Amino acid sequence: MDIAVLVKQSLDVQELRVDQDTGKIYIEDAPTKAGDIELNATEEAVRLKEKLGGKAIAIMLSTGGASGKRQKEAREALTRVLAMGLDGAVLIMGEGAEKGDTYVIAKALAEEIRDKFGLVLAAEGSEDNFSGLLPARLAAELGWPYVAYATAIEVEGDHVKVTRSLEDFEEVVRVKFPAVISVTQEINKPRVPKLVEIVKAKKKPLDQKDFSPPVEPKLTIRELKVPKVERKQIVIEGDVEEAAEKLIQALKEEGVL
Amino acid sequence: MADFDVIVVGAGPAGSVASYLLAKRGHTVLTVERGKRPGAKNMFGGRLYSWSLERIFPEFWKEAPVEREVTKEVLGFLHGERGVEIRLSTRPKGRSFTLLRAKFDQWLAEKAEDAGAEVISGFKVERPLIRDGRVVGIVAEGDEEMEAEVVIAADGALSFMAEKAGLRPKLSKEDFAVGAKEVIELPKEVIEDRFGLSEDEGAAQLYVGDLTEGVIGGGFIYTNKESVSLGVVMRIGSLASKVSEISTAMWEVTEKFKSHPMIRRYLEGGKLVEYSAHIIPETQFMRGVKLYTDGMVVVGDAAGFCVNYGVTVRGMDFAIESARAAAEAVHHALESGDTSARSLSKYQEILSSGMLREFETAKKAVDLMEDERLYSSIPKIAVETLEHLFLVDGKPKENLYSFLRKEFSEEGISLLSALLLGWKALRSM
Repeated sequence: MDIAVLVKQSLDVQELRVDQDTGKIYIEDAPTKAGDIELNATEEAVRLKEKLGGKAIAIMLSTGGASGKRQKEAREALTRVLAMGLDGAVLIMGEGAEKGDTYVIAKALAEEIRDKFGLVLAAEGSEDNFSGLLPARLAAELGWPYVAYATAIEVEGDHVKVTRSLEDFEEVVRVKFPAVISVTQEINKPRVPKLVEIVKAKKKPLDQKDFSPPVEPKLTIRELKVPKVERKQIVIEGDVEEAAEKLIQALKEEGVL
Repeated sequence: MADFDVIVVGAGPAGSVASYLLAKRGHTVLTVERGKRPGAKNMFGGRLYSWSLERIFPEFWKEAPVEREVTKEVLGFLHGERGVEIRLSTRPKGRSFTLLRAKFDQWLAEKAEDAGAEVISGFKVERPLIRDGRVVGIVAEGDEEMEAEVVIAADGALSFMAEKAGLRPKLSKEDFAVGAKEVIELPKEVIEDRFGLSEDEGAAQLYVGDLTEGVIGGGFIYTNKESVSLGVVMRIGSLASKVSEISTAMWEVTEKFKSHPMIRRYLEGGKLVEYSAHIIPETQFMRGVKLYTDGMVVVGDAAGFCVNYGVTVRGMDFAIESARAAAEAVHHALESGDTSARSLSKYQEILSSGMLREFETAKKAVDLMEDERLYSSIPKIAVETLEHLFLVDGKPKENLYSFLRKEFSEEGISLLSALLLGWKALRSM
């Protein structure tokens, strides 16, 4: 049975530049990468694939548009997970993908996954948006069970035992294949690939496909902005007693107290 | 059988050019870059003299991400709130371009990749792999060994590769300068207006004066398309010797430079978008760095190919030229099946008939640049002499000769030593 690992082309949020005056976010300028939790999903796939006796394949549906820069970055991100031990990768990329919401992406991914894989591993949330919607939506599209927030996965015959980390307790569930599972960062420690593995990863099969939206998106983003925090810049003067009184008064007027 | 014909450590300009040339000639090349991507951790003031890269990519500026072609050269003297700027408008035969390394280094690395080199970023090389006294590959992070017929050390100013292969002597603080740089965003039209440029024209401006408080060094400004690169460079040895006398910390000198009335007007309304600092090799090559050993050559900043001539500051063009020479030598060594030091000495031979000859004159310039009076007395005298010439206050004026004598004696410079300094300058430039 083959495993699909979902890898998103996430914006490297540490290198995101913002215009302080207008709140504009320079999305195009920011580099992209595979998300950290996706490295955990990859690690888990590499570990599980021996027990399941199949291949583990990375699937990336890039929402970065179709520019040469984004294509190069997507391939680099996939090289990174391939170097960790995945057997191959599928890169779906094209104009219009950047407008896709999770509904469109899940539909498109479901077509790619349905007849080829028995298990889908994903991160509990993506590196940039972290909505955590996609794995659930994909499972719904596929009609497969979905287990979220896995901290441990064990294969037991034709099903897996999954430990889920919830707010106040842990839950252990059994689920039959095929299934979609999202993992948390606690599940494992992703291996750091060696130089020779990166060199070899560049020679592993990477199947690039054109994206064509299967449906219209239900959600469109009109604008992305950083919320602006205006400072009141009020200076209260006077002796301590008086100033404290004024400060309390001012805070009351603002409705803070 | 080695894993690769060539392993290049570092994907800066020298590393990428060497990788490109060798991959193009059919050798298997692995290029390992420590930064997140090529150009991510590199820094320079802002200008590339095109001569050496032109030999490899004729008219590269039509395709490469360069910012502006330098047609305005400014030499400035600052003293207190006052200053003098000497401005040259020019269209020199030897062209030069301002650029931003993050973009440019990536372009060069892509050239190497397209030619067939494997470029891997985000990976640290620890040291050369040495067996029986010869370099046979590299040791990467995690103690991973990778073999190559020849290793090219292009790992920059602090080159641990060269050091660990025993190719450079223990370096002292006298060999380095430290540079701090900011990139300040301004609208295109504002830059062109303030620096007197037409579209695509650029300015390169160097300043000396009391902002460095007598420490050898100065300020620079280079105009990019929609930003200016600005900063301060100071010699570490000189800085250390004066540390008790100076009132401004290194990182504050940039602020001081930016707030000088003459500099401030260039930057008004600008937005700081990048800040960086880096070490600069200033005199290393002249202090006996060896360029090759069995199985390895050293190129670019790693070999200390960086010269401050005072009015021009160069490094990247030398880095590219040294990489070209190294690639030529390595190619011949690989073809002949002999990668010993003797065979690789062809690298130094090629450089000797060209670039290294320039270093001979550079030695004199570097000597001159070590005269601390250039950074304190001379800027003051230049500013005050011009002030004196332009002064009209209805009173009889002292003649220029006696004014200059007074100026020089205030600075403790005799007229004879002033003449000698001038003579030295004429001979070394």
